[in-house]
Amino acid sequence: MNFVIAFPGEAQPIIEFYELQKVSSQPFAYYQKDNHKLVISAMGREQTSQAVNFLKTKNVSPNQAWMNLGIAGHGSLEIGQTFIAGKIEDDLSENCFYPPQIYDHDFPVTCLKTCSQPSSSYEPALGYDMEAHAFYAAVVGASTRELTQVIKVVSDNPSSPLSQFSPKDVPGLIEPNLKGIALFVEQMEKISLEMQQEPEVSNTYEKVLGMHHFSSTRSHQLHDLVRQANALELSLGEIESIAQSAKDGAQVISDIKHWMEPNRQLR
Amino acid sequence: MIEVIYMEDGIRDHPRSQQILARFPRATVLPCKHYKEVFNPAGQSFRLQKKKPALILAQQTGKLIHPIPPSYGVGGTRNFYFSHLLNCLYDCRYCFLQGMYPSAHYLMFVNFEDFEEEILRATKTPEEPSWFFSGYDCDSLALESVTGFADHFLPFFKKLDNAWIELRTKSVATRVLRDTEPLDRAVVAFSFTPQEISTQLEHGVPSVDARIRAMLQLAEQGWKIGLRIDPLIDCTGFKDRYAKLFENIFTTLSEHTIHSVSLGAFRMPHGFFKKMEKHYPEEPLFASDLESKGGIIAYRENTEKRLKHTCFELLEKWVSPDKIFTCEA
Ligand code: SF4
Repeated sequence: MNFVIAFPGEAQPIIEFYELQKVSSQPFAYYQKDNHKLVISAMGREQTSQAVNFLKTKNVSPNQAWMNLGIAGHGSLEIGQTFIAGKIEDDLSENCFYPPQIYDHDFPVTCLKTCSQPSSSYEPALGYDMEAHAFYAAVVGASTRELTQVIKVVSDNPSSPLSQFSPKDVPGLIEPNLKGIALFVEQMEKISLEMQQEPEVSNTYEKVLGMHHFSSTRSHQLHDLVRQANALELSLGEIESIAQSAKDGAQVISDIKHWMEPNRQLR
Repeated sequence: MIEVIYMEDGIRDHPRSQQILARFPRATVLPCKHYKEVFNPAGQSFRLQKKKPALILAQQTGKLIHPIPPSYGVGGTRNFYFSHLLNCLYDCRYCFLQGMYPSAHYLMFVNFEDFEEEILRATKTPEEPSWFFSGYDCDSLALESVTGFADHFLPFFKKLDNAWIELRTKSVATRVLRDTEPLDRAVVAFSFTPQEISTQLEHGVPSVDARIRAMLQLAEQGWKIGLRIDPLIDCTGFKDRYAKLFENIFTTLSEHTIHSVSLGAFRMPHGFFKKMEKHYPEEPLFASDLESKGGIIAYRENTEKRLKHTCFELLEKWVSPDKIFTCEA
């Protein structure tokens, strides 16, 4: 999971929950442990985009899980209520994002508007923040939209407006929601794993690629054949043996095809 | 079953939208200006959305009915399809919807009356009857409880004397048909692969036996039944499996209830196939002995001939050959 969080107070409960270690302070405070990474962006669109781009450099494989987490105002939800952004608007853009909702949870799903300035007016069923839209725009392309989600905890609403809010209260708002958030995170991480290429396929492909010279077309063919052999539950070890006995890349391709041919029927 | 409904601003007050919203009182409703904002963006995963598709309620504009090439096999000389719904409750691994659409959300067009107007225009002029196919971008019946499609369109088609409608389905949710007097010019077409193949490839689809039972009920009531043996899937024990399937069907239904049988081998536009393969790299079907010919991925010619020929011969034992059609593309 890649957490992108605006303020230290919002990040602290997550850092503690996942026991993240600080890795660096520049250009952003960056924390990590195992597959959990967290960057503190500071407030606003520009900072958020840059923080996402910074975190992208720490991820090599595509389709990782990304989450923008923090506090937000809301026109109708109670203080301390966690919600998922089902639609993300922006006060400077016509463009909206609709993060697909495929996870099981008990949080309400509502619209969220990213604003240039802190907002003290509230519309019903609408949340207000200053980062989500920029976060989503920056992540799109690096991961699928299902794996890019925004979770907010309500910090202010019409009966308890922003003017009464103290930043000191932030960790106390997030902490009681950690269990539910962690369950959500867990589902996203499971889905992200499902989207990763099977390691056996890439291992075999890399090994065979190292045995002979393959043109770019043939290396694609080789990758397809290894993937297909894996799908047909054929032995990938056999592919390595075939490659070892072949004299060049062309023969590897033709021998693997020949070996696979009788096994291509569905069972 | 539906947790999120995206709704175009322009159809918020449409009576059909209101009916659907009333059916899902606990769903979250999110407004959008146009369905394309939700449905079309790149970077969505069809595979992941299949886990929990949302419903998009929208209005279809532009051309609402589309001609179908004669190679479709069944029908007449003037064939059209129209889509009140894009995407499907089921998840067949060979389904072209996975390659065609960027999203797996159910996209329903609520302006049924506009479809009707265009159907009326198409049927007005010519002498020969027009055929309308509804299960092209979806299963015609599987989401009937949500869309009310057949409930609305069957009475409409009943009034047209030179239009046929084919409902194509794998669903056993046939109550709407059982509650309706059979139409003279309607075919209820059920698609089949043998149970062993269905189990592997047709996720969420009712069993072959359940579908045969549903067909029998409708046939006994007087509905004309179509059999769509499409796509034919090459597999071990191909002949035995398809022989068993046909035996199950034809020892249950009598031949005279069968309007038509169509046969078509698995085939897919190249671009769609590549997307499907990307969604499901571990799928054995996509590792079959396929080749690319003129932009279409299909079984090699010999294999395709063998599959069709075998099934044609098997079917001839049960049904008059003039009821059997083959589909090419
Ligand atoms: S039933 Fe038809 S439309 Fe639905 S997934 Fe299967 S092939 Fe596609």
